[in-house]
Amino acid sequence: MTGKVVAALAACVYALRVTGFFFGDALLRGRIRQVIEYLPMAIIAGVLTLTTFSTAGELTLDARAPGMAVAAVAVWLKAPLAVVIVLAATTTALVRTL
Amino acid sequence: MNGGSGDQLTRGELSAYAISVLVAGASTALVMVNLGVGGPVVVAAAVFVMSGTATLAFLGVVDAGGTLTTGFAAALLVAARFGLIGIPLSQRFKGRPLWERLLVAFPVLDAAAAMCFREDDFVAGRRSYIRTARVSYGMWVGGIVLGVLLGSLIPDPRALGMDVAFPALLLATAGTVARKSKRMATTGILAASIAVVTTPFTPAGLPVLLAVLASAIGLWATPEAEVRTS
Repeated sequence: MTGKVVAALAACVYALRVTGFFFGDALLRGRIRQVIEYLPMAIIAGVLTLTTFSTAGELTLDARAPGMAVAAVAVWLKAPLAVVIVLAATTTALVRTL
Repeated sequence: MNGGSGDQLTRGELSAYAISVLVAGASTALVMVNLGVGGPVVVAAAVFVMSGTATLAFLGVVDAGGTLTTGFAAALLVAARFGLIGIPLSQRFKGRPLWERLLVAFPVLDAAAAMCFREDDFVAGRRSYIRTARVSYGMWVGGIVLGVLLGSLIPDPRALGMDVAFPALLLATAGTVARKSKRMATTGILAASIAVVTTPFTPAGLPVLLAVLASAIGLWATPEAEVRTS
Protein backbone atom coordinates (compact mmCIF):
# COMPACT_ATOMS: atom_id res chain seq x y z
CA MET A 1 0.00 0.00 0.00
CA THR A 2 1.39 3.36 -1.08
CA GLY A 3 0.37 7.01 -0.78
CA LYS A 4 -1.07 6.85 -4.32
CA VAL A 5 -3.28 3.89 -3.41
CA VAL A 6 -4.49 5.75 -0.30
CA ALA A 7 -5.30 8.88 -2.37
CA ALA A 8 -7.24 6.86 -4.96
CA LEU A 9 -9.03 4.88 -2.26
CA ALA A 10 -9.93 8.08 -0.38
CA ALA A 11 -11.37 9.72 -3.53
CA CYS A 12 -13.40 6.65 -4.53
CA VAL A 13 -14.73 5.92 -1.04
CA TYR A 14 -15.83 9.54 -0.58
CA ALA A 15 -17.43 9.46 -4.05
CA LEU A 16 -19.40 6.35 -3.01
CA ARG A 17 -20.53 8.02 0.20
CA VAL A 18 -21.59 11.22 -1.60
CA THR A 19 -23.39 9.30 -4.37
CA GLY A 20 -25.56 7.42 -1.92
CA PHE A 21 -26.13 10.49 0.19
CA PHE A 22 -27.09 12.87 -2.62
CA PHE A 23 -28.55 10.76 -5.40
CA GLY A 24 -29.88 7.78 -3.45
CA ASP A 25 -33.00 9.82 -2.75
CA ALA A 26 -34.19 9.27 -6.34
CA LEU A 27 -34.33 5.53 -5.57
CA LEU A 28 -36.53 6.01 -2.53
CA ARG A 29 -39.89 4.93 -3.92
CA GLY A 30 -42.54 2.57 -2.55
CA ARG A 31 -41.26 -0.82 -1.52
CA ILE A 32 -37.60 0.10 -2.08
CA ARG A 33 -37.99 2.45 0.84
CA GLN A 34 -38.97 -0.47 3.08
CA VAL A 35 -36.02 -2.54 1.86
CA ILE A 36 -33.62 0.32 2.65
CA GLU A 37 -34.71 0.23 6.29
CA TYR A 38 -33.16 -3.25 6.48
CA LEU A 39 -29.97 -2.45 4.53
CA PRO A 40 -27.68 -1.39 7.40
CA MET A 41 -28.46 -4.55 9.38
CA ALA A 42 -27.80 -6.80 6.36
CA ILE A 43 -24.47 -5.09 5.69
CA ILE A 44 -23.29 -5.04 9.29
CA ALA A 45 -24.19 -8.74 9.70
CA GLY A 46 -22.43 -9.65 6.43
CA VAL A 47 -19.24 -7.78 7.31
CA LEU A 48 -19.04 -9.08 10.88
CA THR A 49 -19.57 -12.66 9.68
CA LEU A 50 -16.81 -12.40 7.08
CA THR A 51 -14.36 -10.72 9.44
CA THR A 52 -14.99 -13.65 11.81
CA PHE A 53 -15.15 -16.66 9.50
CA SER A 54 -12.98 -15.71 6.54
CA THR A 55 -9.39 -14.83 5.73
CA ALA A 56 -8.63 -13.20 2.38
CA GLY A 57 -11.78 -14.53 0.71
CA GLU A 58 -11.58 -18.09 2.08
CA LEU A 59 -13.81 -19.57 4.80
CA THR A 60 -11.80 -20.27 7.94
CA LEU A 61 -12.68 -21.48 11.41
CA ASP A 62 -10.09 -20.35 13.93
CA ALA A 63 -9.68 -18.78 17.37
CA ARG A 64 -11.80 -15.78 16.30
CA ALA A 65 -14.96 -17.95 16.41
CA PRO A 66 -14.89 -18.74 20.18
CA GLY A 67 -14.04 -15.08 20.81
CA MET A 68 -17.10 -14.02 18.86
CA ALA A 69 -19.26 -16.65 20.61
CA VAL A 70 -18.32 -15.08 23.95
CA ALA A 71 -18.96 -11.63 22.46
CA ALA A 72 -22.42 -12.80 21.34
CA VAL A 73 -23.28 -13.87 24.90
CA ALA A 74 -22.01 -10.51 26.21
CA VAL A 75 -24.15 -8.65 23.64
CA TRP A 76 -27.12 -10.82 24.61
CA LEU A 77 -26.58 -9.76 28.26
CA LYS A 78 -26.38 -6.10 27.09
CA ALA A 79 -22.77 -5.66 28.19
CA PRO A 80 -21.08 -2.34 27.23
CA LEU A 81 -19.20 -2.26 23.90
CA ALA A 82 -15.73 -2.06 25.48
CA VAL A 83 -16.51 -5.10 27.66
CA VAL A 84 -17.73 -7.02 24.60
CA ILE A 85 -14.50 -6.25 22.74
CA VAL A 86 -12.16 -7.04 25.65
CA LEU A 87 -13.97 -10.36 26.33
CA ALA A 88 -13.80 -11.32 22.65
CA ALA A 89 -10.09 -10.46 22.33
CA THR A 90 -9.19 -12.19 25.61
CA THR A 91 -11.05 -15.37 24.64
CA THR A 92 -9.42 -15.46 21.21
CA ALA A 93 -5.99 -14.84 22.73
CA LEU A 94 -6.51 -17.63 25.31
CA VAL A 95 -7.68 -20.09 22.66
CA ARG A 96 -4.56 -19.28 20.60
CA THR A 97 -2.32 -20.21 23.51
CA LEU A 98 -3.86 -23.72 23.64
CA MET B 1 -42.83 3.08 20.73
CA ASN B 2 -42.19 6.78 20.67
CA GLY B 3 -38.64 8.07 20.51
CA GLY B 4 -38.57 10.49 23.39
CA SER B 5 -35.53 12.16 24.89
CA GLY B 6 -34.98 8.98 26.93
CA ASP B 7 -33.89 7.20 23.75
CA GLN B 8 -31.08 9.65 23.07
CA LEU B 9 -27.47 8.65 23.02
CA THR B 10 -26.08 9.02 26.54
CA ARG B 11 -22.61 10.23 27.45
CA GLY B 12 -21.83 6.82 28.94
CA GLU B 13 -22.77 4.99 25.75
CA LEU B 14 -20.70 7.44 23.72
CA SER B 15 -17.66 6.97 25.98
CA ALA B 16 -17.95 3.19 25.73
CA TYR B 17 -18.25 3.53 21.97
CA ALA B 18 -15.23 5.89 21.88
CA ILE B 19 -13.08 3.35 23.69
CA SER B 20 -14.20 0.59 21.33
CA VAL B 21 -13.36 2.69 18.24
CA LEU B 22 -9.97 3.54 19.77
CA VAL B 23 -9.37 -0.17 20.35
CA ALA B 24 -10.60 -1.03 16.84
CA GLY B 25 -8.38 1.71 15.31
CA ALA B 26 -5.36 0.56 17.29
CA SER B 27 -5.89 -3.08 16.32
CA THR B 28 -6.45 -2.17 12.65
CA ALA B 29 -3.20 -0.17 12.66
CA LEU B 30 -1.37 -3.07 14.30
CA VAL B 31 -2.70 -5.44 11.63
CA MET B 32 -1.67 -3.00 8.86
CA VAL B 33 1.82 -2.45 10.31
CA ASN B 34 2.17 -6.24 10.55
CA LEU B 35 1.32 -6.47 6.83
CA GLY B 36 4.25 -4.19 6.12
CA VAL B 37 2.49 -0.86 5.55
CA GLY B 38 4.51 2.20 6.59
CA GLY B 39 3.33 4.21 9.59
CA PRO B 40 2.63 7.49 7.70
CA VAL B 41 0.59 5.60 5.06
CA VAL B 42 -1.45 3.87 7.78
CA VAL B 43 -2.26 7.26 9.36
CA ALA B 44 -3.03 8.85 5.95
CA ALA B 45 -5.47 6.02 5.20
CA ALA B 46 -7.26 6.63 8.52
CA VAL B 47 -7.47 10.40 7.94
CA PHE B 48 -8.56 10.38 4.29
CA VAL B 49 -10.27 7.04 3.64
CA MET B 50 -11.78 6.56 7.10
CA SER B 51 -12.80 3.00 6.43
CA GLY B 52 -11.02 0.18 8.21
CA THR B 53 -12.95 -2.48 6.30
CA ALA B 54 -12.15 -0.98 2.86
CA THR B 55 -8.49 -0.51 3.76
CA LEU B 56 -8.23 -4.00 5.23
CA ALA B 57 -10.11 -5.51 2.24
CA PHE B 58 -7.47 -3.99 -0.08
CA LEU B 59 -4.60 -5.23 2.07
CA GLY B 60 -6.22 -8.65 2.58
CA VAL B 61 -6.53 -9.29 -1.15
CA VAL B 62 -3.06 -7.93 -1.99
CA ASP B 63 -1.53 -9.91 0.88
CA ALA B 64 -3.22 -13.09 -0.42
CA GLY B 65 -1.52 -12.55 -3.79
CA GLY B 66 -4.14 -10.44 -5.55
CA THR B 67 -3.20 -7.57 -7.86
CA LEU B 68 -3.55 -3.88 -6.98
CA THR B 69 -6.65 -3.81 -9.22
CA THR B 70 -8.40 -6.74 -7.53
CA GLY B 71 -7.47 -5.33 -4.13
CA PHE B 72 -8.95 -1.99 -5.14
CA ALA B 73 -12.10 -3.67 -6.48
CA ALA B 74 -12.53 -5.55 -3.19
CA ALA B 75 -12.10 -2.32 -1.23
CA LEU B 76 -14.70 -0.51 -3.34
CA LEU B 77 -17.12 -3.44 -3.12
CA VAL B 78 -16.77 -3.35 0.64
CA ALA B 79 -17.12 0.45 0.68
CA ALA B 80 -20.21 0.35 -1.56
CA ARG B 81 -22.18 -0.21 1.64
CA PHE B 82 -21.44 3.40 2.62
CA GLY B 83 -23.36 4.53 -0.45
CA LEU B 84 -26.24 2.28 0.58
CA ILE B 85 -26.16 3.47 4.20
CA GLY B 86 -26.15 7.07 2.93
CA ILE B 87 -29.56 6.64 1.30
CA PRO B 88 -31.70 6.36 4.45
CA LEU B 89 -29.27 8.70 6.24
CA SER B 90 -29.75 11.49 3.66
CA GLN B 91 -33.46 11.48 4.54
CA ARG B 92 -32.48 12.64 8.03
CA PHE B 93 -30.47 15.54 6.52
CA LYS B 94 -33.04 16.68 3.95
CA GLY B 95 -33.17 20.48 3.63
CA ARG B 96 -29.86 21.01 5.43
CA PRO B 97 -27.23 23.29 3.77
CA LEU B 98 -25.08 21.76 1.01
CA TRP B 99 -21.80 22.20 2.92
CA GLU B 100 -23.27 20.40 5.90
CA ARG B 101 -24.45 17.49 3.77
CA LEU B 102 -21.08 17.28 1.95
CA LEU B 103 -19.40 17.24 5.35
CA VAL B 104 -21.67 14.65 7.00
CA ALA B 105 -21.37 12.41 3.93
CA PHE B 106 -17.64 11.96 4.66
CA PRO B 107 -17.94 9.95 7.89
CA VAL B 108 -20.86 7.76 6.74
CA LEU B 109 -20.27 4.64 8.84
CA ASP B 110 -22.19 1.58 9.99
CA ALA B 111 -22.09 2.52 13.68
CA ALA B 112 -22.84 6.25 13.29
CA ALA B 113 -25.75 5.46 10.97
CA ALA B 114 -27.05 2.85 13.42
CA MET B 115 -27.00 5.46 16.21
CA CYS B 116 -28.93 7.82 13.91
CA PHE B 117 -31.55 5.21 12.90
CA ARG B 118 -32.09 4.33 16.56
CA GLU B 119 -33.78 7.71 17.00
CA ASP B 120 -37.26 8.07 15.56
CA ASP B 121 -37.00 11.86 15.75
CA PHE B 122 -35.00 13.39 12.85
CA VAL B 123 -33.41 16.21 14.88
CA ALA B 124 -32.32 13.80 17.62
CA GLY B 125 -31.13 11.38 14.93
CA ARG B 126 -28.98 14.05 13.27
CA ARG B 127 -27.49 15.04 16.63
CA SER B 128 -26.72 11.39 17.47
CA TYR B 129 -25.18 10.87 14.05
CA ILE B 130 -22.93 13.95 14.23
CA ARG B 131 -21.83 13.18 17.79
CA THR B 132 -21.09 9.57 16.91
CA ALA B 133 -19.34 10.52 13.65
CA ARG B 134 -17.15 13.08 15.45
CA VAL B 135 -16.19 10.55 18.11
CA SER B 136 -15.66 7.89 15.43
CA TYR B 137 -13.29 10.07 13.41
CA GLY B 138 -11.28 11.42 16.35
CA MET B 139 -10.99 8.07 18.07
CA TRP B 140 -10.35 6.21 14.83
CA VAL B 141 -7.42 8.47 13.88
CA GLY B 142 -6.21 8.51 17.50
CA GLY B 143 -6.44 4.72 17.72
CA ILE B 144 -4.58 4.34 14.43
CA VAL B 145 -1.75 6.60 15.65
CA LEU B 146 -1.68 4.65 18.93
CA GLY B 147 -1.61 1.37 17.01
CA VAL B 148 1.27 2.53 14.81
CA LEU B 149 3.22 3.52 17.94
CA LEU B 150 2.35 0.21 19.66
CA GLY B 151 3.19 -1.67 16.48
CA SER B 152 6.87 -1.48 17.25
CA LEU B 153 6.25 -2.79 20.78
CA ILE B 154 3.76 -5.62 20.11
CA PRO B 155 5.26 -8.17 17.76
CA ASP B 156 2.04 -10.15 17.22
CA PRO B 157 -1.37 -8.46 17.80
CA ARG B 158 -3.09 -11.71 16.86
CA ALA B 159 -1.59 -13.33 19.97
CA LEU B 160 -3.59 -10.78 21.99
CA GLY B 161 -6.74 -11.61 19.99
CA MET B 162 -6.93 -8.05 18.71
CA ASP B 163 -8.19 -9.10 15.29
CA VAL B 164 -11.62 -9.87 16.81
CA ALA B 165 -12.01 -6.31 18.11
CA PHE B 166 -13.53 -5.17 14.81
CA PRO B 167 -16.11 -7.96 14.32
CA ALA B 168 -16.97 -7.77 18.03
CA LEU B 169 -17.64 -4.05 17.63
CA LEU B 170 -19.94 -4.76 14.69
CA LEU B 171 -21.66 -7.57 16.60
CA ALA B 172 -22.49 -5.21 19.46
CA THR B 173 -23.91 -2.71 16.92
CA ALA B 174 -25.92 -5.46 15.22
CA GLY B 175 -27.24 -6.54 18.62
CA THR B 176 -28.59 -3.04 19.26
CA VAL B 177 -30.25 -2.86 15.84
CA ALA B 178 -31.61 -6.43 16.12
CA ARG B 179 -33.56 -5.49 19.24
CA LYS B 180 -35.73 -3.19 17.09
CA SER B 181 -37.83 -6.05 15.72
CA LYS B 182 -37.87 -9.78 15.04
CA ARG B 183 -37.76 -9.11 11.32
CA MET B 184 -34.62 -7.00 11.81
CA ALA B 185 -32.95 -9.87 13.71
CA THR B 186 -33.98 -12.31 10.95
CA THR B 187 -32.41 -9.99 8.35
CA GLY B 188 -29.11 -10.15 10.23
CA ILE B 189 -29.13 -13.95 10.46
CA LEU B 190 -30.08 -14.25 6.78
CA ALA B 191 -27.33 -11.81 5.72
CA ALA B 192 -24.74 -13.70 7.78
CA SER B 193 -25.85 -17.00 6.18
CA ILE B 194 -25.60 -15.55 2.65
CA ALA B 195 -22.10 -14.24 3.39
CA VAL B 196 -20.91 -17.66 4.62
CA VAL B 197 -22.55 -19.67 1.81
CA THR B 198 -21.27 -17.44 -1.02
CA THR B 199 -17.69 -16.91 0.22
CA PRO B 200 -16.22 -20.11 -1.29
CA PHE B 201 -17.64 -19.29 -4.75
CA THR B 202 -17.11 -15.56 -5.11
CA PRO B 203 -14.14 -13.15 -5.09
CA ALA B 204 -13.35 -11.37 -1.83
CA GLY B 205 -15.67 -8.46 -1.20
CA LEU B 206 -18.62 -9.78 -3.21
CA PRO B 207 -20.23 -11.85 -0.38
CA VAL B 208 -20.85 -8.60 1.53
CA LEU B 209 -22.79 -7.17 -1.40
CA LEU B 210 -24.71 -10.43 -1.81
CA ALA B 211 -25.57 -10.34 1.91
CA VAL B 212 -27.33 -7.05 1.16
CA LEU B 213 -30.00 -9.17 -0.59
CA ALA B 214 -31.22 -10.17 2.90
CA SER B 215 -32.71 -6.70 3.17
CA ALA B 216 -35.24 -7.81 0.51
CA ILE B 217 -37.06 -9.11 3.59
CA GLY B 218 -38.31 -5.53 3.75
CA LEU B 219 -40.51 -6.26 0.71
CA TRP B 220 -42.71 -8.37 2.97
CA ALA B 221 -42.65 -5.90 5.81
CA THR B 222 -45.84 -3.97 6.36
CA PRO B 223 -44.96 -0.83 8.32
CA GLU B 224 -48.63 0.18 8.34
CA ALA B 225 -49.56 -3.03 10.17
CA GLU B 226 -46.78 -2.47 12.69
CA VAL B 227 -48.08 1.02 13.37
CA ARG B 228 -51.62 -0.30 13.84
CA THR B 229 -50.60 -2.91 16.41
CA SER B 230 -48.55 -0.48 18.50
